[in-house]
Amino acid sequence: MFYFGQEQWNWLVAVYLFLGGMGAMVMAISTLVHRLKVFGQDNTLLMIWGNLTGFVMLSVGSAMLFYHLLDHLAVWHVLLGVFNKPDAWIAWGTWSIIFGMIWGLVYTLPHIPTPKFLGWCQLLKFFKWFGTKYAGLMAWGTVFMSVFTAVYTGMLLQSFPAVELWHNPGIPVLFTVSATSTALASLLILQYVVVRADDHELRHRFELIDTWLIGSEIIIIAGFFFYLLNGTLNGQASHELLWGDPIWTYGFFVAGLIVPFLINLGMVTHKLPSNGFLVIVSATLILMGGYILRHYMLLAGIWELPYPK
Amino acid sequence: MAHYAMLIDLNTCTGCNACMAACAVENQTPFWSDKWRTKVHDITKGKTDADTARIFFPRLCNHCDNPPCVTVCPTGATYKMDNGIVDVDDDMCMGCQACTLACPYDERYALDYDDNTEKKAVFGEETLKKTRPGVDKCNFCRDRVEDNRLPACVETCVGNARQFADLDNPNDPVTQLINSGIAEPLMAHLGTKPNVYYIPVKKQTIHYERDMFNGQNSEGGLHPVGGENGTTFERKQAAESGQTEPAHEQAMFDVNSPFANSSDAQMTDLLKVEA
Repeated sequence: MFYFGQEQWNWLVAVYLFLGGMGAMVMAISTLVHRLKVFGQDNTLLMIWGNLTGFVMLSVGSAMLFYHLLDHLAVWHVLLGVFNKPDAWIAWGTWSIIFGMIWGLVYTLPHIPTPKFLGWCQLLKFFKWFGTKYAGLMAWGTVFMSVFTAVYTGMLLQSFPAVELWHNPGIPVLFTVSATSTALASLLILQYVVVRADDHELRHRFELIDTWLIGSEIIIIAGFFFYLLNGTLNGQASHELLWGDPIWTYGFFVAGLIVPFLINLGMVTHKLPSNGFLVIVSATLILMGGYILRHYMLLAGIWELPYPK
Repeated sequence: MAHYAMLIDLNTCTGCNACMAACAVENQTPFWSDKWRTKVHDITKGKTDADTARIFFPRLCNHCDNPPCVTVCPTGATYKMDNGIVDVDDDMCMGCQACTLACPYDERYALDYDDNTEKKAVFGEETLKKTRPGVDKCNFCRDRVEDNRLPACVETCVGNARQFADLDNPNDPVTQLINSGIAEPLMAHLGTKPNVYYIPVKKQTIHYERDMFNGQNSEGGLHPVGGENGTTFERKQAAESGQTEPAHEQAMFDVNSPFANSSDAQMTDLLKVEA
């Protein structure tokens, strides 16, 4: 048997998977904490920054995928995919990204003061009116579509049957957990650097949830370690590629998971002071790990064939 | 309705690569970028002088009945036809290459803008069949097949290693060979239900006396469908001596050959009918 990796989905797609999952969950969480008025606070500023940041992340990620396409003019066909090809994850993912972005923006717009230079824009006024009148619908639509997008990024990889590393139920779980974890890290950075609101309880809750998520991710990664180690030759080849690479082992697993987990654990158990510096260091490491995870997952996908490539 | 399939006899492929050339010209593939719809690999097996074997391994799209490439295609550009052929609609393909990753056989390649520019120069702009970038793959020479002709690779195969079958036609000799169980699809455990079948390589010794070899119609090789071209010298000899039936038990093939070991009944029945 011959074993080889793929070159088709390169770092552009890794960025798409990373920013897609993270941006979507940033929008979902921002909208959720605002809609539910978590801890009885008005989280409007965090919602605005979160949704706009998520919107930018999704835009950049989608632009990466668009750039990666071979025929850019044919991209509109994907919008009909949910009707023609409801079994294709990319078709559903495209819709969930588009609707999540639009609904999230429409939900956010009424809370942003209209700049004077856009005072003439009737379309903006319409969307503000629409976002106010149907706020609940927009909010829950955004949350649903965004969570769907985060899950979709893993489902997409899971749908390729020849690759042992991808074609298993652990991938959607891993990607969803990682997307939520990186989204919380992004929101914590926003809270400490940009929003600076008096929302300590919410920050602490985010840190606590993120600690649980990183802990879960460590367990999932450990599961993958043994699944591949004792798996088929295809899986063993992926195992060798992942764990033989210091960027994966030390960059992702140690610096991107273990270290932030320990920092967060220290902070939530009050063994470490919960200050902005530590939170931002931890969140930055989580974001770095989140990208390395996607990059190496694509890189280490291995095919097994009875002939050379 | 036909259900097309291909049978490839790994014992008779000579590695001449004529199939690759015929396919490249017929389907205008960018061979200068090493992009082919079909390839023949030159594989050496074994480690010692005694057991080393050189195998030519032709490969192409397997036109699976449960094709993962069709499942993942978000635009519906990749589709399965009623006759079993899996094809790509050039106008609908946006080139996300998800199908390329989904294919367990690595049988798809990306056709980019540069390839298309070069194709215009090589094949001529007016006669270009595929003008849009996207993913390209074998379609069993669909135009030819719908015109009741064989795929280019099958028609040009000098060793008759490639045979085209209609699985819905029980009288098709290639279908009968496939049904005999002598041939195996690739990686069937993946559940893709592929429609390209391979007669595995068996170490065989084809021996004949030089003076008995009188041209290609009586060569000592085996023919997957046993037609006139595949007539063995023993059979020809038997026919010339007036025997109505060739003596199958007289080692028509080497005892290690796949035909000697499996599904004798169907194979010999097939030969009997033709004789």
